[in-house]
Amino acid sequence: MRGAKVTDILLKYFLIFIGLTIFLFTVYKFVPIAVIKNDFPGNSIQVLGINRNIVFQYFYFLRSLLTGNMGYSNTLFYSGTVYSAVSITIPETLLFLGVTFAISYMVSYFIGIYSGTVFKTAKIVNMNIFPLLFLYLVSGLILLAVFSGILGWLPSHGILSSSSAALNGWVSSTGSSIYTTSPTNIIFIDSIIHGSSSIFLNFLKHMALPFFSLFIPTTVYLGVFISHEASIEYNKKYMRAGISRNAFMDSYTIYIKRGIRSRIFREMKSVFVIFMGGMVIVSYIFSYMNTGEFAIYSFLNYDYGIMGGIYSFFVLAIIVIIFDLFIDIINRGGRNEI
Amino acid sequence: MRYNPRNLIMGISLAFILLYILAFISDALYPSYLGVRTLSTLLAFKKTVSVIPSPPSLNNGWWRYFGTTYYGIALLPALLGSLKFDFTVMFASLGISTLAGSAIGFLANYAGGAIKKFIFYIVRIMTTAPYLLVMLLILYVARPDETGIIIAISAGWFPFNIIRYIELSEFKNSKKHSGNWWKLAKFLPYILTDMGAISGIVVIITYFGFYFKNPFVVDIGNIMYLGGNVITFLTFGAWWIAVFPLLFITVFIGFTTLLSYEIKGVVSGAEE
Repeated sequence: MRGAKVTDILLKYFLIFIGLTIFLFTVYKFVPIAVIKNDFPGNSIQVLGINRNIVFQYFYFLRSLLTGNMGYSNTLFYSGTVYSAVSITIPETLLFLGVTFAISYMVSYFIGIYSGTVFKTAKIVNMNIFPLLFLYLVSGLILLAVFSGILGWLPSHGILSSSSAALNGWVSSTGSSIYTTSPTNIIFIDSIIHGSSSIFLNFLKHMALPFFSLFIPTTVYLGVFISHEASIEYNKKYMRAGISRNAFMDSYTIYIKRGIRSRIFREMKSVFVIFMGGMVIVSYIFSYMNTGEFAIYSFLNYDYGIMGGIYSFFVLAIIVIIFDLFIDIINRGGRNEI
Repeated sequence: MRYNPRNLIMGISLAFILLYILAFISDALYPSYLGVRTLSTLLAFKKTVSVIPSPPSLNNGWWRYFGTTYYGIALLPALLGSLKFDFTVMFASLGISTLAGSAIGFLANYAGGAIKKFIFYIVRIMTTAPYLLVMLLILYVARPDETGIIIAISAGWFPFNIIRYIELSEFKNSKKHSGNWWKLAKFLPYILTDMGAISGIVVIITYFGFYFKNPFVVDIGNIMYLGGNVITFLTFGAWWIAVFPLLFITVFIGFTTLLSYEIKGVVSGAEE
């Protein structure tokens, strides 16, 4: 996508967005209407235009997706409107996702650049990315068994302990392990605003195991990838010649970073999609309040979960599309070929 | 004679993979080697009266080596028996997704132009969302039984095979390295990694509890789930009930990935 215009990139992702909604609509049409009616009490199912022809139905469905008018959810995770379930969980999801991915990237970048230039790991072929998803299950359960089960240092489930949440008026519980806080609905920020160190520490303790379950596999994978790319760049002729003549004034790592930047950005898109899958797994293992956890419980409940499942799928896919769009825009000058 | 560590690693990896496949065939043909008559329920592996997991022990029989899990189910024989379900689903999903992906990839290459662009567009849409969620969405429609899991995994996985097929078809190298056998050699590492990765996905899906037909299905994910009871005992310190099942399947995934990695290295080395 070298030299692509921003408008071209926006158009590409707009078409992907439309394709995604058509895919979701296609799957939704395979669900028996009696099951969908369960999520729309009374005559509210008319919002989906089920008596219209299939083309109109798609536009009704699209409107419901965009406005969040997706009926009710009645699962072990949450009972209420689908929109409220997602709007309660999405701030914490974004915080968890953003913090964990950013820290994983920064640590792996540092390790990768260092090991790639010092140990020269060019001969190591890159790992295949697909087994990464399973490693999230492994790291999650192993960390749970060791740090919660055997050592008892960290809590095994939830985003806050009910006892500490009950002591603060600005924290309210809306279901099993679901907490809302005012004013931002992000516990981390609200505990700082209210000056509550107990909630702040309690939140960090609950976040520790899910964080490391995602952080460890992602950092290892990205670290190996960056190390490999940095080493290849380091061993290129121009780099060897420049270093031997001291043409880079000892700041050759800047040139290595520039050289590998577009390749890292491209790989980050693949890693982020699998990372999102990992977040779903980890949030389920630790009952960590999250849109991914809501998606699993929605899909598990055949009779009262489909609209919740579709909407949480849609929201998580939109996060991926925005991330890819952002990467493509800042990587416009990057070359696709290695 | 020069010692080649790559050959040794490939030999060990292949030996382990074949051992797992041997266990899978034995499960299908002769399950009584595990001391059970049927592999239709985990309760066939119930060895103790107490439902509370007992820790691993080297005494009183080989079935105690990995301890027992909830319901007194002996872990080691249950894990060996679980390969029947897991590998059946894995091989079926792998076969369908590879065939479907290759066929569509072939069509895209053959037709070219707008059709190829359209197929790429569909692939891009299918790979936008986390593929685990794509599979769960399709699983919801296909219903969560053995066939449904195969359909869901195949549908979620085949877009990757379309991309691979097109990439390999467009792959051009020296005359020496451009034949169909060479392309197959380049495709083999993907198949091997997929064997491991899809096995992992089967475990993840059943770990979530997506198997309504039989709550005691003999499967590694279900051994770590059992109606959500396993996690409770895990938080009380019964580490073996998750660590051994994870270790058991991770060894297989690890060796398939390692073999794939080494074959990729051999192919890349030969090209250079």
